Amino acid sequence: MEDKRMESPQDQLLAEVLDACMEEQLSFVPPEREIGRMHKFSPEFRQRMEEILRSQKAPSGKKMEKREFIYGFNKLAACVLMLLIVGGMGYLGMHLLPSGSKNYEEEMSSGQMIEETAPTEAPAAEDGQKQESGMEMDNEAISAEQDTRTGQNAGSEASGEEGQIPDVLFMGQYLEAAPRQELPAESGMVKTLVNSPMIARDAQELLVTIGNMEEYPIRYYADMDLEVQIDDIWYLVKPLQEPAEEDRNRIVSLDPGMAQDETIDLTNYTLDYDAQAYRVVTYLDGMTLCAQFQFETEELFGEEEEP
Amino acid sequence: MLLYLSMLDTQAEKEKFTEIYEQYQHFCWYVANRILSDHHLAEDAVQNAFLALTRHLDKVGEVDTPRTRKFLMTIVKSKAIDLLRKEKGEPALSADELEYDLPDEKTDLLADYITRENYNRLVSCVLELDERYRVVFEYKYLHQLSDQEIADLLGVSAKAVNVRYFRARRKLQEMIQREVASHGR
Repeated sequence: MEDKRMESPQDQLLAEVLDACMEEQLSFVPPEREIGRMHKFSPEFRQRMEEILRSQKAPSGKKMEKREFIYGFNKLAACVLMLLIVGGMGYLGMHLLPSGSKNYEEEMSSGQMIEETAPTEAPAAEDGQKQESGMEMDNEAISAEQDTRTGQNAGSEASGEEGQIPDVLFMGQYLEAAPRQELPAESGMVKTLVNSPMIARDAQELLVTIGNMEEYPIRYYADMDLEVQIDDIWYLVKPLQEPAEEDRNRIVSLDPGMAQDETIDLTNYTLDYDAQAYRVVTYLDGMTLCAQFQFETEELFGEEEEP
Repeated sequence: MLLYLSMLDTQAEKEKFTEIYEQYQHFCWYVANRILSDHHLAEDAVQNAFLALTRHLDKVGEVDTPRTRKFLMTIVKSKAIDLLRKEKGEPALSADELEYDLPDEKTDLLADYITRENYNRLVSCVLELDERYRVVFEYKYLHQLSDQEIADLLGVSAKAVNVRYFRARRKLQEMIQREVASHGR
């Protein structure tokens, strides 16, 4: 509350008058303890306030974890893990490895961006450089990797299967499974909608509307995620160009009864128009919602073209 | 507005918010209840006030100060007034507020009446002023908020804040004019 605007002596005097009036009002307010005795907050109120107190950090932390893990820490963890697995195989032999380790190899392949080829059954032994220190780092690296995976799940609501969903090759890039497979389109009185469930193939933008019919304001991240459904599994589609940090962390407040449109630049993604489905994921206070859409099929295009 | 929506993403901010809540929750409820005369609605007003505060925590300095107490009082009053309006089924903007008229400097003579000599009259007039208008004054003059910030807190547009502000000035001016006319300037 810095003094920004004390334009004239009249303004100053008016401020003084208002202050005096407020002091007058405050003089009738009993001490906090006394009010506490005269009124006990209802359990509903306490619960709602706890949610507010809890939600202050959640969206931000969620988003940061996700980005950092995907694009920063994940790579590091994948590299360390590669060394670990290669080293581990040398010691234990391939037959002891669980089948699920294929996933790690796939991640390593994509994480290191060595080749665009699918992961091999068993990588050729990369001996040498299997340092003791690497082994000492094992636990740390594994837990880091686990953190990486669960970090994307942000909030532990993700299905327990995610760690087992391998990355998928989509339009020349490996996509990771979405942190949460099942997402609602609305929660209570908050809804997300796309401008149309069927989007034209040449559409440059997608309009997402967030509506708040609650009695209280909500906040959401303006930067939303785009996910694609492949074989009934949702995967996170990476944008060609990451938004600036300022944009990524931009939070919008939506007052009760208001709706806000947000635009997603579809040209910033490499998309398969024939994919099963797409959805836009919005992170709001204490909840995650999605709005699903598809691109028009070729047939539809053809029919429309016909006179 | 978005500049103010950085949320409480540092631990210090979160702690500050919690501290404010713990220190002023009952105070806020009392203020809201005086306006609403309804225990549960007052709780709703408190909740809305704290939600609004999360977006304006940067306006709060030290937690345990009269200034913070006053800032919270204005926020919770405005939220209680808003709830009262909803309870009565009134629109966010009254009919006269919807008719936007530009402030007329020729008829805005309030500044002429804001003098040291009229101090006591001003105090009594402000105390009688409709709370809906008074909170706009408080936000603007006492807490030094911009129209946009006030708009965010009131849940109306900045233009509506401007309209309300000039109507508040006009109301206050009329009250003082009457006061002066009856008691002499």
